[in-house]
Amino acid sequence: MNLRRAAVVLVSVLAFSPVADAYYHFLRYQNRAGQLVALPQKFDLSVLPNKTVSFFITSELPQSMATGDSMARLTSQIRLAAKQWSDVETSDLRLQFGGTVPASLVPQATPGIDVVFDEVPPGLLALGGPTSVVEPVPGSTFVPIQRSTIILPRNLSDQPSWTDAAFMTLVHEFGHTLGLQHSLVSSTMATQLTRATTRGRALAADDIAGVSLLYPTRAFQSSLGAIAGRVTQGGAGQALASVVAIAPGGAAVGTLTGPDGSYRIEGLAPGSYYVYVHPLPPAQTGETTPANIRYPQDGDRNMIAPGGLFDLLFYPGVRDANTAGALPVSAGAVLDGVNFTVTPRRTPLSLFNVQTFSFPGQVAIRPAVVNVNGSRNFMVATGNGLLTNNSPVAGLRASVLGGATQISAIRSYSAGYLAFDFGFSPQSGEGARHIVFSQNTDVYVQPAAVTLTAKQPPQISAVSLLDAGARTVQISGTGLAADAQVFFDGVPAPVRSFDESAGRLVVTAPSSSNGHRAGVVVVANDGQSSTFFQSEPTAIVLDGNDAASVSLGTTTVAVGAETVLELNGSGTSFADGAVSLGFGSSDLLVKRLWVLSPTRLLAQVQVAAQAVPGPVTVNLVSGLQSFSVGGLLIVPPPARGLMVSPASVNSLTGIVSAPPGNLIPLLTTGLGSSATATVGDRPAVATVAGPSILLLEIPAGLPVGPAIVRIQSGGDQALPFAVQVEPAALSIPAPTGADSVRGGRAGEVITLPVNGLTDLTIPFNRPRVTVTLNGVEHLATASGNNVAFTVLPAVTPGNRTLTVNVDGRTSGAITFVVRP
Amino acid sequence: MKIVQITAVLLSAMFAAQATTLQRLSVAEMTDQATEIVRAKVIGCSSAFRGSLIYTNCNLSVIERWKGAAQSTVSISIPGGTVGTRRQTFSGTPTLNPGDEQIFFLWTGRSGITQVMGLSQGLLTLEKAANGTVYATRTPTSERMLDGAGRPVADEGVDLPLEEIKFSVMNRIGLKGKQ
Repeated sequence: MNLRRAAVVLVSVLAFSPVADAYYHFLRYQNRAGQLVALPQKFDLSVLPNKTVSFFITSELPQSMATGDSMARLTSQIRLAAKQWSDVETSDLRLQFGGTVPASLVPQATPGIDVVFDEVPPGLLALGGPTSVVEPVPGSTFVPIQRSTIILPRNLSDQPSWTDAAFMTLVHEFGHTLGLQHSLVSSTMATQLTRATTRGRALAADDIAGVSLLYPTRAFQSSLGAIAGRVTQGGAGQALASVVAIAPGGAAVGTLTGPDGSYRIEGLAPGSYYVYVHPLPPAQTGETTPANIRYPQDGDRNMIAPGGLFDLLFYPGVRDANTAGALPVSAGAVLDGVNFTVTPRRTPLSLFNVQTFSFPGQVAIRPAVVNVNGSRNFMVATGNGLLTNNSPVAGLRASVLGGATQISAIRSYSAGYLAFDFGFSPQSGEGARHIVFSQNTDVYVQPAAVTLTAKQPPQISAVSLLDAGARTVQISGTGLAADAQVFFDGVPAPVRSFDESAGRLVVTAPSSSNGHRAGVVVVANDGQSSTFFQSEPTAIVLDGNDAASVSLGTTTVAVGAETVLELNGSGTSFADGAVSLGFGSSDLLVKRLWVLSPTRLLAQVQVAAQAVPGPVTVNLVSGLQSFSVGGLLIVPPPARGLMVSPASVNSLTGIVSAPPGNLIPLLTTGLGSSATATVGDRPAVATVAGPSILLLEIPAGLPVGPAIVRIQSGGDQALPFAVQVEPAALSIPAPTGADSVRGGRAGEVITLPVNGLTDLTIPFNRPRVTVTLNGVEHLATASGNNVAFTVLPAVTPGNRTLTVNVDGRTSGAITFVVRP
Repeated sequence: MKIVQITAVLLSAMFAAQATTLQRLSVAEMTDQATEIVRAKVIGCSSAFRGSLIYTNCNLSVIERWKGAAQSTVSISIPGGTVGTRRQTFSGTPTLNPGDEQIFFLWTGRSGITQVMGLSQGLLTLEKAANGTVYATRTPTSERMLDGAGRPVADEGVDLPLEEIKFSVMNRIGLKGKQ
C-alpha cells in the first residue's frame, strides 16, 4: 500500500448529511449559494403517522395466475417482501399492509404505496417507482414522494408467486417505491444481472445503507461509519463514477459520485474496507442507461451524464487488488480524503456483468453458494470478457478479495460457461466473498460473487399434517434445525419442536381457507433455503374454516381522531404477528394491533387530520386467510364534545405505555369540572389538573398488555383509546459489590441489568433496543434481564449520562463512566 | 458425464432464477410476439393519468411497416411521465423525443393500448454510417439468454444494416405464417 498517498485521509466525526451525493437515489440538484445540492425523492416522515407508510393491493386483481396460485398466496409474498424493508433497524421508515383498495382510488391525503395489476407487454415482469412533485419547495432538502406504485402484470400465468424469483422481484420493486434506484454492488437493488441476494438474505448491506440514508435512525449515524472523497480526471470532477467500499469478508456498499466528482459512502459497519472506483458498465439489452439508472437532473432540469470511461482503480490508485490498502472505518466517523485520480480509457470496457452459479443439488443457485466442506468446491460463471470459444480468454485471472480462499484453476465448463475451482483453508470462513477478475489491464470486481457456507442447505423430504385442528405440521428432511425459519407461502410458521435425530421440525401452520395449497420453504440461519434444492416448494393442502368471519362494532371514525377498535372473530385463529388490519386508505393507520385471543383483536387506529371524509373498506388478513370486515365511514370532526389525547406517547408505537400506578397526562377539550374513567374496565383515578389537562392513573394490579381507557366528563364521553400496560418502568439498578459506578472503555462490550424489560420475543413492529450514552445512540441487544452494547469511540471519556431504550420506552438515567 | 447432466438441469433452472424485472427477449421472440413492427418517427408525446398511473403517450409517424395492420400513425404508451405538478418515475423506461426515428417492436393488449415490448428491448436505434448505410443497433446483452424451455440461445444483440434486420424479421414472419 502506498502509505504516502494514504496519509491524506482524514477522520472526522460523522455529521448528519441529508443525502449528499450518496447511494443510488432518484436525485435532482438545486443550485444553492453556488453549490449543487442533491435532493433525493423520499417519503416525508413528518406527515406519516408513526413514520409508517401503508401499502395497498388494488382490488382489480390479475386476470390469470399460474396453476395452483391464488391472491392469498401472492398477498402473503407481497407482505413478506415489504417486511424486509420495514425491518431495517437503521431505517425509521416502516411499511404496513393497508388492505385492498379500489382501482379508482379512494381520495387520500397521506402518502402510500399501491400495488396495481396492469397490462404490461411481453419482456416486462414488474415496475416500481415513486410519484412526486415536479418542483420541490424552495429550501427543501428532499423531494417528497406523494404516492408510489408497483405495477405487476395482469397476466401472471407464468410467474408463480411462490418462486424465489417472484419474491425477489417484489423486494426489489418495493425498494424503488421507497426511493432507491438500481445499484451496482450485487444487492437486491442491483438489476437481475448481478443481484446476489436470496430469499434467506433478502437485503444486502448496500440496500440497508440506501434506505437508511433516506430515513436514518439516530443509531445509523452513531453506530456506523463513512468513507468520503473525490474522483477526478484531469483535475475535473468525474460525475457518476461508481465508488464501492468492500469488506474482504462481507459487506459491500456503493455510491455514485456527484457532478463535481465527490462521494460519500455511509452505513459502513466498523471494520476494514477496500475502496475502488469504476465507470458505469455499458447499458445492456433492455436498459436505456447503464443498469437503467436514471441520471440526476440539475436545477435547470438538464440531465447530468456520467463522465468518460476509465480503468478501475483500488485505493490508493492501484489496479492490482493485492497492492490495495484496507482502510479502517470507525463508528460515527467519516474517513475523508479517499480520493482517486483516474485516467481516460480509450477502449470499451471488456470485463463486466459476471454471473456466478453453483448447484448444491439439482437446482442451479445464482449467485454461487459453495459449501467449504462439500465435494463441489467450484462455481460456474459467465459474463462479458470471460470467454472466447468457450474457453477462458487469454490472461484471465480471478482471485478472492482479501481472503484465505484461493481460486486454484479456471477451466472450460459447458458452452458459454467457465468453472472456477476453489482452494479452501481453515481460515476461509463463511459469508459473502468478492471476486476480482482481471485480464491484461482490465479489472472487474464482482461483489458477493460467491457465498461460502459450512453446511448443506436444508432439504425437505416430506411435509405432513399431524393435527388439522391445531394446524400442526411436520417437516422431515436434512439440514433442518431448531433455529430455522419456516414459511408457508409468505407467512412465517412458528417452530414448535425439533427432533434432531430424526431430522423433523414441527411447526404451526398459518390459518387459511379450507383447501389452501401452501408451498413450504425452510430457511437456515446461514441464509440457505430449501429452494436451493427445490425451486418448486413442497406443497401441503391445509384445512381451514371457510365459515370463519370477523365483525367490527364501530361504524364511524372522525377525521383527526385516534381510537381503539374491537374486532371479534368467529371460528378464527388469530395469532401474534400473523394478523394485519387495513382500511384501503393511507389516511387510516393502525398504530398497534393486539391479538387478545384466537378470536379477539384490539386495534388502535389514527385518522389523519387531513383525511377526506367518506367510506372505506375494512380488510383483515390472518395468516393466509383474508376477511372482508365491512365498511367504516370517515366523518368530519365533531364541532364540540369531549376529546382526549395523550400528552406523551411511546416514541416507537405512538401510543401510551406505562406500568400500573403511573400517572398519564392527557390533553383535553370539552373537559368539565370533574371526570370519571376506567382503564381495562377497572375504575381509575382521573384528576382534572387544569382547564385542558387530565391526569389518569393506571390502576394497580392491571395485567400486562393492552387496556382500553374510557373517560367521561361534563356529561360527554370521549372516544375510547388503548394503552399498553407494562410490567414495570424501565430502570437500571445500582451496581452492587465493589464497583460504585458503572463504566467502560470505547470498544468494550457492556452488559447492564435492566428491570422492566418486556418479552422481546412477542412480535412487535420491530423489537429494538438502544442505549443512549452522552446523547450518542448505540445499537444494543437484550437477553433475559440484561442489555448489552459496545461503547462507541464517539463518546469521549468522562462521567456520562446513560439511558436504555426498549421498544420506544426509556429508562431513568444513570451515570456511566467512560474511561480513557 | 455427470457434470454435463447437471448442467442441463442448471440451465433449465436458471431461466426461473433470471426472470425478475425484465425477461430477456431475442429479436426472434419479439418478432413472434409483437403485434406491430414499424420503422417510425416520433411526432410528439404527452402524459396523462390512467387510473393512478401516469403514462406518456407518443404518436409515431410510420415510415415503414414490417408487421401489423396498415396505418400511417401509431400511438404508443410508456409507463411514467409528468402531469401537472406530478412526476411518476420508473427506472428503465425509454425517453422518446420528437424527430427520433427508430424501429419499434410493439404489442397491443386486450385493453387496446399499445406499448413497446420489454420496456426498451423493443427499440432499435438507427445510425447512419459514413458510407450512407443505415444500421439498426441494440446493445448486445452480456447475459446468457435462454429460451422458454431453458435452452441457451445465441446472444442477439443487434448491430446490423437496417435492410438485413428487415430481411430477418420479414423472413421470420414469413416462416411463422407458413407454420
